[in-house]
Amino acid sequence: MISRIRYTLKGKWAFAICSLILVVFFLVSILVPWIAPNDPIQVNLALKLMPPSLEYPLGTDQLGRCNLSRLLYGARVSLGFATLIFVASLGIGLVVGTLAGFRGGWIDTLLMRFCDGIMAFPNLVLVLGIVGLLGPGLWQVVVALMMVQWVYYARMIRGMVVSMKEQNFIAAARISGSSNWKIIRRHLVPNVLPPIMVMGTLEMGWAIMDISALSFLGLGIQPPTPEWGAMIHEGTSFMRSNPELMLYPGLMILFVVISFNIIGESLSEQFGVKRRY
Amino acid sequence: MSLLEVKDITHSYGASFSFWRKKEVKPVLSGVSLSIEEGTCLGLLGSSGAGKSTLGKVILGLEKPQKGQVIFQGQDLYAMDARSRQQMRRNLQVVFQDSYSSVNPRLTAEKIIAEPLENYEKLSSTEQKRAIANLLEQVGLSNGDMKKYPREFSGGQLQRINIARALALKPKMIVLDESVSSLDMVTQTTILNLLQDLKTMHGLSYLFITHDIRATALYRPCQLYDQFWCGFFFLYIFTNGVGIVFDTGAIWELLSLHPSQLTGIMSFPW
Repeated sequence: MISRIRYTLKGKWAFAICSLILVVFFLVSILVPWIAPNDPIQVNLALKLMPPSLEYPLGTDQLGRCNLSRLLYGARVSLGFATLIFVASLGIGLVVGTLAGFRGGWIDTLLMRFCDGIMAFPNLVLVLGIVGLLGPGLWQVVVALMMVQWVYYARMIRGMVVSMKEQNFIAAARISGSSNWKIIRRHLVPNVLPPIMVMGTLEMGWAIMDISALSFLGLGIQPPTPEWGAMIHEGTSFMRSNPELMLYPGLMILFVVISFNIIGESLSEQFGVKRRY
Repeated sequence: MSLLEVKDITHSYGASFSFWRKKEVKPVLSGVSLSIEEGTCLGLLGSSGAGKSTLGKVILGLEKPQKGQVIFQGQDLYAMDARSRQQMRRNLQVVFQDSYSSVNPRLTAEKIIAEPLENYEKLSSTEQKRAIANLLEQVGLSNGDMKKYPREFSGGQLQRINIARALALKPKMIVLDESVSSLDMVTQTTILNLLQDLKTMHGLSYLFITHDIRATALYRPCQLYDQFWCGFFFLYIFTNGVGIVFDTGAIWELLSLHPSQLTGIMSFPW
């Protein structure tokens, strides 16, 4: 087993390291209540902006909260909600893309022109617009990002379904008496999903960036809940005296997003999937 | 009554739609008619682009023709509702040319062959397994192949699996759309012999679609091609004999003028 893993990862050290980083982050985000040294939202003004100590390994912020605990809890928010966005937008994209590709005709035209319409806006502008409409808050951000991202999945899935629909094994299934629903369930979706998952890995990195960016702008998660983008935002006032307040969450975002991108790139190289469309 | 009767099929493909050009229409079939009696075979011969596969698709109910009728077992395939067409499909199966693209790469041989059985016969899992084992044996594969994926088979073996799937419902007729064209000569021969055996065993009708004139004429180790070529080929094409439908439109006539591009439809009683 170990030798097999070794063989698979041979010469792919970047991929291996990034997977390791992500596995660690995911474990942390699940186990954080047990491994965080302190309560992340416990305010103690007497201990504000402390240097690293045994009790506070990375020091405290301007309200005396433990930096390390806040970073660890931030992983939970970022990864958790990025995964949620991924799953939800993939779900919508799968339904819309399969419907459009399989049925064709005016349904296809209608749905795809709608997607084109959404894609015509710059993503961030559209997200800001939706969040502005719904009001700030994490769930609003999640909904807004979802509403923007499903379009890319839908388009890509639709393209794959259209080309796969013409293949002989679909015709053979039809002649074998399978219903449309069975053909979709048994032949189309299992063949469409794996490359889409690869694209999803890349989109995860973007989702984390977007959540953080919106939190930085004060539209996403609201204080005191710890989130990396929001932490960077809070740290801006202490940029001169305590730059680490911005540095730590910035590094976290950097590591996670780079890991997702490198994994996504190498997977898409292997599967021959192009990013977007 | 004929098993299959194709009356005056006319079909064309429209080129892609564009705003500033008139839609181009590419005619493929013009007024093709043929008929197949139960238990007999028909060879459909033509160079590539002649419309053989399109006619095959029309007969299988996959491509609605613009004009004409396909009557299978006395019923019009394109006039019936979806449910009765599904029932009709039991008796009309297909084996395509490319064995690899005709099977879902993510299913095992067992699941591939099980698909028609699941749709029509409500068998218990042990009965179904037995039926599949029986089919595999008929096409010359073993029980151990059940759990294998398509990538683990060779082209010839995979074509046997496709034949097993087509046989699963004990159909009256199988459309062999270039079924052996992509295989090497030795494998072709064995598959053709297999088809011959299955025909006598089950009393099948074949619609045998092929473009391969010279390669098949060079060797005739098996009876299927033997009769196909030496017994009836010239006779039927040039004398326009019984069961032959040769007035099948401009494209086909044009191509049939040169012997290496002989195009037409021949019927031969076995």
